[in-house]
Amino acid sequence: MELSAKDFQSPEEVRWCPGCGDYSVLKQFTEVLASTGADPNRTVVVSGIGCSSRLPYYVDTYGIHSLHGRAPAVATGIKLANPNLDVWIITGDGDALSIGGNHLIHALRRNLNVPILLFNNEIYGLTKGQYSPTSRAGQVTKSTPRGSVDQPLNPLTLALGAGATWVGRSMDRNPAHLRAQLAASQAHQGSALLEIYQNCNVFHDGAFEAWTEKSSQAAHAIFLEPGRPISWGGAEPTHALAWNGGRPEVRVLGADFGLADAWVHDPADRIKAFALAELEGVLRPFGVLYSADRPIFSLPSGTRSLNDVLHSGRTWTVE
Amino acid sequence: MERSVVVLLAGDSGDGIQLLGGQMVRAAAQSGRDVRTLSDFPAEIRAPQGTVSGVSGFQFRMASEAIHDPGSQADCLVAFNAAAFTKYADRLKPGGLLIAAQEGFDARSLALAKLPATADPLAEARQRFRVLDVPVKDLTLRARSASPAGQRDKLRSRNMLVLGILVWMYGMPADAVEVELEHLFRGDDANVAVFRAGLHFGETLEVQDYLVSVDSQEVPRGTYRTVNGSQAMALGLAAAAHQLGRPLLYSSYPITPASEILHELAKLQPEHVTVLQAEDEIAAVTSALGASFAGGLGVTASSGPGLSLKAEGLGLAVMTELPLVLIDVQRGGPSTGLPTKTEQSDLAQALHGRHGEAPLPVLAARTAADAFDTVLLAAKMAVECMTPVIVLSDAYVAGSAQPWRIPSVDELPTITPPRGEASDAPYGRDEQGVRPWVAPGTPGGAHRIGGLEGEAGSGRISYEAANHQSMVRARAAKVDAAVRLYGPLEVVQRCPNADTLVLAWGSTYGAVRGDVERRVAEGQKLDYVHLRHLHPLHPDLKAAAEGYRRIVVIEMNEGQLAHHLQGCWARPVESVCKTTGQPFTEDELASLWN
Repeated sequence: MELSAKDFQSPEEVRWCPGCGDYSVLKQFTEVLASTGADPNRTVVVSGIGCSSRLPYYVDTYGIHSLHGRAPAVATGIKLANPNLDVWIITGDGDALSIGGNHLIHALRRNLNVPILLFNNEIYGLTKGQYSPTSRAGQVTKSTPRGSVDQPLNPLTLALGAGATWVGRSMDRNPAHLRAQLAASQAHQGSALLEIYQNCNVFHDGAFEAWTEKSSQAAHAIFLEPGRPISWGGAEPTHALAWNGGRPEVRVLGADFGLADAWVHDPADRIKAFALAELEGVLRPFGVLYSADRPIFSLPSGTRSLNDVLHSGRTWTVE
Repeated sequence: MERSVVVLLAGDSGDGIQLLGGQMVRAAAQSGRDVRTLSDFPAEIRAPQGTVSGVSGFQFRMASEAIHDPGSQADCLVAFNAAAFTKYADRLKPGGLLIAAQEGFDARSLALAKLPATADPLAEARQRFRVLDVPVKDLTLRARSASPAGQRDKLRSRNMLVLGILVWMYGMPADAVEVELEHLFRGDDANVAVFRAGLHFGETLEVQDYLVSVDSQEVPRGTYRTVNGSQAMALGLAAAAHQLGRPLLYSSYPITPASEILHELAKLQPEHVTVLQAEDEIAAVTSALGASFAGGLGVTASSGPGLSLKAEGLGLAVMTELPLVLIDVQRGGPSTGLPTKTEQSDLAQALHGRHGEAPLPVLAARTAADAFDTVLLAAKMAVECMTPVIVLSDAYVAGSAQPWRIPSVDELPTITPPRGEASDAPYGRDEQGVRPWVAPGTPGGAHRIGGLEGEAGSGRISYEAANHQSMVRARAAKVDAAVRLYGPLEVVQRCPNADTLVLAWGSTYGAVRGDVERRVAEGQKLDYVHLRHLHPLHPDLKAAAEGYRRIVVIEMNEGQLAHHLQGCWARPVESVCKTTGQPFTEDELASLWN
């Protein structure tokens, strides 16, 4: 029997603030579970702590809402005990990049076969408005009334540096794009880090408007397509990237530079993936930046019989 | 004929002291003597050579009867250098035998040991002890003269020369030792040649004064091996995985002295067991818990600071009511403290060191052999009661070796998981208060658990006042009900009309037992109970304790069990304790209380 998105909604009352971007992510997530034919009996959603980490309670599969930052470690234990389970990690910018930074990088370097959905809202929401590791320099929050002095962390370059085999970005306000990336992250064999721009309308409203609003999106958001020129500007692209001497260069499309001259996106190229991830200004890439094959993390259990183990080493017999 | 002999081996940590000791223990055990050991390592891997801080010690006691501790004062001290002698001279009985490696007492060695150039420690030693000074270096080089190896390599066999001398002195079966050495060194007979040179040195010396024979004892039939506490823990976990018949994830982060369990399990590769070296202590406990959520048994281990780091994970294990075994191999603390020395000072943290109302069973292993049974009981309790369990070991139990009769698989206790059908409410309870274990993969069983308080039965998030109160009490009652898995209260020593109860726990067992037996022989009216179950206490203990005028609690901390019992029982107890990083000895206890 085919399941619908509704079948993946748990009876739990959803308790995010009205207008929160998490509602959209939850909706797309259950849609993707349904459309990809996920088996609720074998699906496990693992989270840490934070607004995003409440998500497992709202999905009618197996789920565990664990400790702040520790979801990758919990998921590692689940996959080792039963590699046949489809495990998802749900985390946020504070959970994954601050208190749980260590677990995240080790899950990525091991290539744990799990999609990691990182809801980035550049703020601590559940604790009511302190700055997060992705908050921008100068951002005024409850804990930084004179503006944050910290350099923000880039989740995508961090993931690439840690050895992630799949790195992507999407946004709460573009359901179709988000569904496609969720499905791609799940289809990937290995660790897939998907950063999701998610609006916190209470503590950091509009943080991502430049890339999510119809009026400004065309000028700022680059939607990557494998094998296609990297371009943006609307249905008829106005700009494209050139790969010039090992660095990206913004070019205006016209007579002297056409789409045929543009940099063609190749998700297997790690150097270029770094270059895309480092676009931290008004231009930002969305879609799959990087995807590569590497053996997934697995540890076989032992095979020696107990009797053999007990008698290992030197023994002697008393008659 | 001596009934019991204590030998203390001491030298640089690179001298092969532990290997030498291990061979002596095996030879003694194999020839039917009972043996107990005590290791004393420096914390540094290679502390400066020849210095007192770099001295590594290994003490063993062998006896013609059952013994329970490695003894205190040594009958024989083997000193590979002046620093070793300086460090341990006071541990040798007056009139005892000092075997000294001559070359370790030259001018350079004296300087390294910070002795004045004019000192003559061996001459001074002759005033107090019998001294056998042996040209260990020369004899070793001569025995290996045919070998093309360099002098430095050849001298690595010095410990084998001493092994030969000791085997001769104590009348042990040289043939069996040779077989072991051939096995150990896989056909490299250079070490065997040096061992034989040691034997011949003993024989040709013909100083019969040195000959000491220790009788063999009657031991039960069976197959034996030597185990230390770490090995026994690893074997116990292998047995637990077998008895459970499900995956067991052993996840830990390297820390002294717990790491040896990690090494053992990684080497043994028992069926159902997966070994993960986690990225940190927190990942170790949380990945173990993940394995338990997935229907396996998560096990983690640590020492000192690692226990503190795992405290948050234990809270989640209590809240989610998943099985988990945490082994704490205690060491001197707080902080890095004395990482290679022993202490029982994590008891208070094991009992109480969590946020919120978070009771869980706490067990302690008394000896290496007991570590096998204790960890197996911990796994059984964790699974059958759906709770995290802490097992307390310590550096002394972990490193002490003893002969151990290998149990047959069919005499091991069963481990029966609770029900786990899709129809079971995730937080419904059986008559023992245990919730079901519905693992992911069970068709129709989808449910969510987590750190938020759950509603009784469904487990759905609940902030209801009455529900929280009842869940707090239900979790505690479930732990209290774990006593159904305890055997009868064991009284180690019982006297008619005893008015004093001696209580101890963990690795103090051997010394306290010896102390109590001596006192009883002298006419004191004592009973002695050694606690394996620190929480919940044995259900018969309180009533039993009420019959005594005095209760004396002996432990290697500043009175943590004593304080706990006073709180539980609202009556005074006497505390006998120390925190020196060294285990109690029987002689020491004799002077510590009356």
